Amino acid sequence: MYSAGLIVFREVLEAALVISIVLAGTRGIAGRGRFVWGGVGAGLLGAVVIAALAGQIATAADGIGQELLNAGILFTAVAMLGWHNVWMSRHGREIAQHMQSVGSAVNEGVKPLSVLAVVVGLAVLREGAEVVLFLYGIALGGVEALPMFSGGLIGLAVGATLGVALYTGLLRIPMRHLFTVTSWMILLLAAGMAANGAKFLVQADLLPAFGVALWDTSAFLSEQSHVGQILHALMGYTARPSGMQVIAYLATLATIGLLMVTIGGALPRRGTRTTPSPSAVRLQGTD
Amino acid sequence: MSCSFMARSDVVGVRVRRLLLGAGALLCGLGFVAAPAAAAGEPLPSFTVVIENHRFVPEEIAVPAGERFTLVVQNKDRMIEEFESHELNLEKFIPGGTEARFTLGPLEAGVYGFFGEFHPKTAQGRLIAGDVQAEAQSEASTSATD
Repeated sequence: MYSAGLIVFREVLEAALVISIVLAGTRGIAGRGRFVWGGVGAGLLGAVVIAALAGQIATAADGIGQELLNAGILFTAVAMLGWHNVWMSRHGREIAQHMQSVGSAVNEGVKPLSVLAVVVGLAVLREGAEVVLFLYGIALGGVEALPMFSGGLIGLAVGATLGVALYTGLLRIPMRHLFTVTSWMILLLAAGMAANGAKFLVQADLLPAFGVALWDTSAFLSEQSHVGQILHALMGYTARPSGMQVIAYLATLATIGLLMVTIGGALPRRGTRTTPSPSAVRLQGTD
Repeated sequence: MSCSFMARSDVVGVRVRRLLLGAGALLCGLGFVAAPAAAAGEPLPSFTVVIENHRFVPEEIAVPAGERFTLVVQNKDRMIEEFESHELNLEKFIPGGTEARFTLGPLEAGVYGFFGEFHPKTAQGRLIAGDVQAEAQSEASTSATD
């Protein structure tokens, strides 16, 4: 029962952390709950579908179908998170401070919110498929199902609770800093996902490893420890990353970071204000 | 109502988003093309481990260091297993009654653990990367399966 709980907890935690950071980072944007939870629902449905197709996926593309699907899901999420960060750098602060009517939300909020729904949905899809495969396998196996399922439920509850704890903790951050903090967290999330995606492409023998383990910090912090797993979910911490994983991580940090700074205008410029810009106020007034 | 500054950056944002999505799609497409190409070439030494009753048989496998090789993991159980290794950065679902192959190496000499995430208490194994002995064993196993 404990092992079932642990497995479900790990996967739920990974998804819950993504959901919490995304929710915190869009605080104040009206209607974002609908998109995020809609994404969760779609992700759950998708997870069941993926689990049902696990056999076909595994044998697809000459045996590397799983790796391609995982990498595709992860890199798509990286692209979406990157876009979200760039977009929020430009507009987030002003929109959140002026979003008063549902009408404004529909006009200005929909695009980044639909992107977030996809990100959240993909996270739930990935982790959910693993949980479904595990629980379904147990149900088939004729092992004592009840303790396994109740263990799984407990794992789900604990994972969700940690997600809520992160969300509540993030909300304590003053609004003017919240976007910056969540943008950094999303940047690290994206880099971790890119490294994970690279790992699958190396596994599929489509990319060279450039060294199986560039360093080994497992004695210092094991990936299997609770802290290690949380760090892995939050920022892709890997105790023994291959060279390609490190390259993917750094390249993602650099690319999204650069886009955030140039297109997004993320860094403070001369004369920057944290209060709303007069032009944004005027535009709202001329609706 | 016109939001000119919004419209301009929105267009930029749409372009960036399309570029990123296109890059992601291209990557996936390349994967499907590259997969058959990667399979061609000289066969590598092959080592097999079996999942039976949620355990690995054998639990320890000697493999060559400094060389590429194939590891075949056969799941003879009914239940799906998630084959995972932190040391080798491997993660793959192996449905019951199927097998998965991994192309590994070159590895430095040492011990590389792997486990079944769904049954971590019993499904634990190791690859021992060494030199001459491993090559002799692999010749014996590949000729035995001819």
